[in-house]
Amino acid sequence: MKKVSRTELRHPTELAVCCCALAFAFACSGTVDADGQGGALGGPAAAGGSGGTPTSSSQGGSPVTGPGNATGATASAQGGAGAVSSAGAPPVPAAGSSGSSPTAGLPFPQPAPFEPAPGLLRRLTHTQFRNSIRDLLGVTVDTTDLQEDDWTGGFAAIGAGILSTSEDGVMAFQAQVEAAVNAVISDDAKRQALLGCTPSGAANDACIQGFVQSFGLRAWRRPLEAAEVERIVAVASKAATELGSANEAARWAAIALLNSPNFLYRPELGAAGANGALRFTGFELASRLAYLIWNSTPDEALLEQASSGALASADGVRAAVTALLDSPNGREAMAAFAEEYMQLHKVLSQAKDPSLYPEYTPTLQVAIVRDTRETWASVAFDDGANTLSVFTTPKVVVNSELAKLYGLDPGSLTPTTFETRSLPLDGNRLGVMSKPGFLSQWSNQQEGSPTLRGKFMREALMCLTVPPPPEGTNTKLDEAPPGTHLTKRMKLEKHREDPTCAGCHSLMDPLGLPFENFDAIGRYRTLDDTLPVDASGDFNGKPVANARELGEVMAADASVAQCFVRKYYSYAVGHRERAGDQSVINDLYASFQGSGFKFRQLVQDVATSEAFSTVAPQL
Amino acid sequence: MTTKSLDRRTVLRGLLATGGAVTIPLPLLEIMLNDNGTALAQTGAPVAVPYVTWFFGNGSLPGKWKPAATGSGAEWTLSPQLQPIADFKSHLTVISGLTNKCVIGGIEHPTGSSGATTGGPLNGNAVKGKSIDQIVADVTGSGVDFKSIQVGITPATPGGPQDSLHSVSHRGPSARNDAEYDPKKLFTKLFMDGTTPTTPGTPEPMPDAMAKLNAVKKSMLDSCLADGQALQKKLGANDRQRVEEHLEAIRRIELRLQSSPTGNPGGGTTKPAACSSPVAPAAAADSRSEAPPGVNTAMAELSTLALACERTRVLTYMFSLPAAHVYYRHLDTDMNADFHDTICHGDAGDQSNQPRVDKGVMYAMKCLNEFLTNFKNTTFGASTLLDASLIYVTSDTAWGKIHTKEEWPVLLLGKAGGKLKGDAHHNYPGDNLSKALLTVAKLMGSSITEIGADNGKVNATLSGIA
Repeated sequence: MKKVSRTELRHPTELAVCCCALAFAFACSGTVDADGQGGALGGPAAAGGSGGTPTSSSQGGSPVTGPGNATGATASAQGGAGAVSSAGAPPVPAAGSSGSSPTAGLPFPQPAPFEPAPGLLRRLTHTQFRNSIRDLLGVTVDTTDLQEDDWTGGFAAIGAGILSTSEDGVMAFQAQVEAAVNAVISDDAKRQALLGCTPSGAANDACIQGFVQSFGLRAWRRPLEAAEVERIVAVASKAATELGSANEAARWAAIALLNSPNFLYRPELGAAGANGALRFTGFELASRLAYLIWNSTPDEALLEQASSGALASADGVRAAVTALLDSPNGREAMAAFAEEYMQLHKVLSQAKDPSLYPEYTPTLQVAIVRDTRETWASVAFDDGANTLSVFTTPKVVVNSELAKLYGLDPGSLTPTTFETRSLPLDGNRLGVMSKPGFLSQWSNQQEGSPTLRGKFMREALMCLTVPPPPEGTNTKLDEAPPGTHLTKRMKLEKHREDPTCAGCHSLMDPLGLPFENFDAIGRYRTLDDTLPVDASGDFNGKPVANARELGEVMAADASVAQCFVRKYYSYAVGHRERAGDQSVINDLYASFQGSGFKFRQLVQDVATSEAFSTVAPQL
Repeated sequence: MTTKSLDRRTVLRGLLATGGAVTIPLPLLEIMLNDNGTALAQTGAPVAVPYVTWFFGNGSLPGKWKPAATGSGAEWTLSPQLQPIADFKSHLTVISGLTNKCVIGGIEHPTGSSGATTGGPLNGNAVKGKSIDQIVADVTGSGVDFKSIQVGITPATPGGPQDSLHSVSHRGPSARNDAEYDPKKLFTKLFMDGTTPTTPGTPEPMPDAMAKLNAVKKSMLDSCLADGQALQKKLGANDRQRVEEHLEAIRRIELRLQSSPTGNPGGGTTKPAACSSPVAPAAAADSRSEAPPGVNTAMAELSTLALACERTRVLTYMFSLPAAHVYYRHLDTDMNADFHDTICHGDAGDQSNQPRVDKGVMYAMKCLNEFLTNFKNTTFGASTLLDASLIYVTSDTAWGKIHTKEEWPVLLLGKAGGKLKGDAHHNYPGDNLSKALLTVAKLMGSSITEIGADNGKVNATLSGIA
């Protein structure tokens, strides 16, 4: 198999020098995902090998049914965002896309055939570690001190297959494991419930033997081999003897199982099937499904299906997925994905200027994360609605502090109690992009950044890139002379007039400026530096007056739906998109579109796809 | 006074003001050394040079950083931005003129950081090789409790995905050593047996019980090691190495259990001020991205203890991270702004005159002064910790405003146990910054013959330093 490097895939003109004065200040400081994720892997133009235009996901001239528009809007207009070159030349539609092509309207007009990706060894993410311990022991651990997740590819679920664990990281896992196990073992009722028997302290204690097998199966997500059982039981026996208590056997058996690399890492390596090709084993597949849908460890029922061979067929997988989605944790399929997709973990560590935003408290930060992730989940699971309607939903999930920020009556809410509410349909904000989970994150401590907001929109929601800025540019922004005023928009216009700057700024600013009605924590405002806010901008060439209109346009735009599928796919399979994924993504998109953009359909399709069950050898 | 040699395992036991019992190895005392203070009396092993990477983000103002004259002693005088460390001119070696050849347009801060600490650019988000502190740790990091320690004053960051924005200590690609930003947690790790969660109010186990508990822990860790080794057999080379990193960490944790101190064989009479009775720091971690002075004070003291007590021989001090979006609002009324975006990039002025940038750089150097003062006031072997140590000071850019890569800020501080003369300014116009890294590696006894990657790869040291 020929490996295609990212440089080869990246379109030459994309590398053209493009000065971005303001973006530069941010981008050069590393907010660019320099690993080439996002559109660098090949928006359709690059993948299709067409010449002469920067990467764009616009399928120029290909009528597609807009996801939020039953009347069949023509999405992705030609000359959309991303198709603006520094020279200002009009974009040319990607080669190979025509209305009659079988791939018309699909993400990749000329998809490469599917090739299985090499097997992975993924370390549990913070959230997966917390959820797994919760499901195994009923204890919620503190993930604050765990080694940071790796966000290569935009998702912790992908970085988990890349990062190495530091000594501090190992110590932090051990501290949390021991604390969680101690909380159970020290409590008579909880210990009894976990063990289901009373340990005797004897060397060949059947209670401990059975516990190591049954709890080991849950913790390692596969049956233990005889030698492994023996090893853990030996630890348990030593503990009972040295520490003089039969309960110590259970304590140290559990600690040994949960500190093991077999718990902390998920090997997804496959086994050769009848035709010699590698497929994930039943237990590997059970883990993939459980972490995809619950973001947690498989339960006994799923492990039983792995053991019985039920997951060897697509029907078996489909049934398992339905059961997982229908369970109370099923909504995590969307909530956990949205949390990573929207990079919400950043909100919890971001400070704001306390003199400007005294209401920005740790409980508000928690609420901001919860609001965004739960809104995505509620639209998908409570409403069963078109996924893209998240961009227009009035739904909010608020505590007392967030209710106040939204101008809602907090009623009897407190900083730690939450309710799902609805914003006024004729109000000034709708949809997830009008939430502080997005708005506060792409702001500094004092003010929002149209450039960073636009950059996230472009890269994460449109799967397009922003070219890297050149070296050595002076990025000074004009400040208002004393006694005068300038809005952020005015300061940016100043730079966009400079043709060397406009190339990049036109890719980001029109997407970010519609959010100028929202400050650094997402409060609504009508004035910026005492002047009225002008929140106009455009999306894919469609002018919008404000964030509400932007949300409406996004909800009806095929390129957003296509990008959503591409991002969800790479999150689900745990690696960045490769050329060999394009045909699967096309199929997923076609079905997603056919379902009216129902998230459950996409999950079912991903889980039963060839890409989810087959694997190539590790390098 | 007795001249009987003391073994390095000898420990002191003390009681903290907080009531927690602590066990602390003795610092390296003169009576443990041979007559000329260069080796341990009992084993004859040479005294290892304590090493520090001292990193500050966002660069300097090169026009105010570089001293006017080169030479040694009276031949050269300090530049304005080095005035805060004037007390340490005798221990200061300024290296100017170097170019960071790893800097890549668009990702200047991440590649500046990786170039200044690993000698190479990036591969995606990952560095290409070990950072200098880890190269040193391969030489001097064994036989002590922690192969290396990483400390940070502020977690302020632009939040980009590259590893080299989040740390300047790397064991290799995608293998970051992140800093501890909380003084209290660092104290716990160093002095409260960080391998075990501490339960307030739990009586401390008796030595015998502690030994039994440690034996059980060891068997648990052995089991994890065996699991990992079995897993490695199924993996390709990359993932095998990732698991190996994990297993190496487990092995070091095991070693600490085995060397866990027991008893108090009367070392108390020579209790040194430096680390016989550490007091838990009061400063809380920086939660507002402002690098508060109190955190620097606490971390400088703990870093001194960590090295003086030989809990580690290698320390990385991240005063601020590359491109830190730090708000030095405690410095002055006009400093409540994003230091990277607004002040370094946005403020008018040339590379000798950006007044607010100057304030930030001067603050970093004042904090370096505090760090060095602790080293100077701490006995280490026959001299001071400052005499004994080698401290490499650098940043992620030369001039932050336009990311110049020439005239990279590089200082060496301390005398590296006599290998460095100090009080000198050497100028190497246009030479490769990686040569400074190889020079440090050689000073620290490394046998490597080249360092870095791509444009940063070198096989020569800087002449005339040592």
